[in-house]
Amino acid sequence: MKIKESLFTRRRFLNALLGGWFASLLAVFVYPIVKFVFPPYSEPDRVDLPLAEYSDMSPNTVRNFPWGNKPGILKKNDDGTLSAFVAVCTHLDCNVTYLPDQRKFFCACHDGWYDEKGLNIGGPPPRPLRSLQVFITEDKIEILKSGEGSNEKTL
Amino acid sequence: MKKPYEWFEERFGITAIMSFLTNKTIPQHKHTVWYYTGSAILLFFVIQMITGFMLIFYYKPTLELANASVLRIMNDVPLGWVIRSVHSWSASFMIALVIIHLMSIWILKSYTRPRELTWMSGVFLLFVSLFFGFTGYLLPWDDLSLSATKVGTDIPRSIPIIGKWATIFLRGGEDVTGDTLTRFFGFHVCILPVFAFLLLAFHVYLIQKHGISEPLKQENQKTKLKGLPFWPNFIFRESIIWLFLIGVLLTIAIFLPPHLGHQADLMAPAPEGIKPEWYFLFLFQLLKIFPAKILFFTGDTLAVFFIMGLAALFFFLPLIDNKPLEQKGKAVTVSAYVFLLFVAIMTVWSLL
Amino acid sequence: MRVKGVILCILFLLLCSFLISSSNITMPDPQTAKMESIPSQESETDIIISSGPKDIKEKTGILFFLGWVWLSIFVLIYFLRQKIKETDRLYQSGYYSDGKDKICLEE
Repeated sequence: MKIKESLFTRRRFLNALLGGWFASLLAVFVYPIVKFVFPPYSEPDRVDLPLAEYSDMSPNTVRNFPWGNKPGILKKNDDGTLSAFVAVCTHLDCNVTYLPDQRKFFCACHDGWYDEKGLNIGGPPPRPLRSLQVFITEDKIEILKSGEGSNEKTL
Repeated sequence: MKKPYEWFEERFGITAIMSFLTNKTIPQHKHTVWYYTGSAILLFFVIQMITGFMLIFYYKPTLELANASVLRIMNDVPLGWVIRSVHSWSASFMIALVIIHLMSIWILKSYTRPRELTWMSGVFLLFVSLFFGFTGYLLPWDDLSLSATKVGTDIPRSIPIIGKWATIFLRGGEDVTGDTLTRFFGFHVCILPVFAFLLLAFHVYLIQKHGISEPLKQENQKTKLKGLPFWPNFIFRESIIWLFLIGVLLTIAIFLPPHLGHQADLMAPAPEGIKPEWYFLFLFQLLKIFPAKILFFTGDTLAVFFIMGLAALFFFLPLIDNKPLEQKGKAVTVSAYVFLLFVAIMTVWSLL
Repeated sequence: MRVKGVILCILFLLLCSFLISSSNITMPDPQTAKMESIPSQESETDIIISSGPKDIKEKTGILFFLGWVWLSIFVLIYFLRQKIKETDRLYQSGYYSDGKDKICLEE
């Protein structure tokens, strides 16, 4: 179908070609720059701790361990089992602490409270503490990323 | 598109700038090609800034971590080796273009009245560029860069009276230490960029004020050379040059990335075969050939005086060459070629 | 003109193949430092860490990136030459003179 007038001028066409291809050249630079500026970080899938250092924990006490760049907290429960959590508050990323006399995890930044199983019970935290799976072998404690609840094992 | 443009135009007034740029003309003659060197330098300076911004996200400017952080950039950070390579090669390209730009101005005598200040600010920009290269060379903190910095910062010591203080100022102490690294980092990312911007603004302002210089014979004949509008005609031509230079830079950076030496050991003897970057090689060789003692002076002192004398002659060149079309002017042109030959010979000699 | 273009293309391709074949885009093991002796520095204490792409995926990606960049450069240079011809023609015909408003915002 022939139309009476051009939709655009030759100058516009050339300008669009030039601008468009130049934009596509710039676009191909975006990917390497973005990859550089946002490096991949992944949490570890598993952390092993030497059993010897953690065998003397009394019930209702905690010890910290490194979970990649984040702090992890290992808790000896009253029944002798171990629970592990990522000790980072689910509100705004502050590190939490355990108060044994109250049997609660506490985040000092905005008064966030979690019970001894990591469930959020007070303050702004929207979700429970992330729990990790604990497996005990002969000489080490294996801490793994968890799907659903933690598998507590007896020491 | 018109409405946002009009909103911006009412508040900023870009029309005045655009009409200046479209009215500005570039003279066309057989030496027009040298006019492209200035903007090419600017292109590489911008590339240095962008890659520098990216590298500074991961570089750690302390004695303990500098080398390790560069290693991390090269190995762990995605495409870090490309960014570092581009930064390193772009520095060399920029300084090469600064030298070409300088030589073309010298030989074409574009510094004659009223453009003397443009030349002088350009000489300062040359020193700033060289100091950028010198400070950047230390930052990976490997054996080679440590030794090169020790030598380079020791050279001013030969200047009488102020020499010792100059060296202490550069090193942040008597010796090259972690303090030197911190100081050089501060120069490289903060102090020198500020000076570079100020000098560049001054330099570019003067160029706009005086217009692009024409070859002397032309100016004298008062015939009107054909002029090309800066915007858009000359800018399109410059864009072609820029695209080509970016392509060459990327290709060389990807195929010839720089290596990294082992972390510098302050107590270890100097490694064999130390040398500065290529643009300092001729000075390096000059220092080597001066004998240890001449009359009452040490060879070093004389060499430094010689270099400073050359730098002063350089700086005051427009004032020295005040009669460019006469015998003195011809001698100055010849001196440009002699200087080029001297630098080339010394550079090649230092590599043998 | 066309002959010049063909010769330039051939030279360019030759240069590319030379660079690729002689390049040190090997895949260094990122965990260990590579022991390389450079002719001017042959001390056994010298460990030079070479850099380059980590794996074949990165190497291919980089080469494709470079290929696209050069293709774009040639295409853009072609478009820019057309623009130069256009603007030079307009300049000759006096479109930019007689004090008119010079903003490059057309139509």
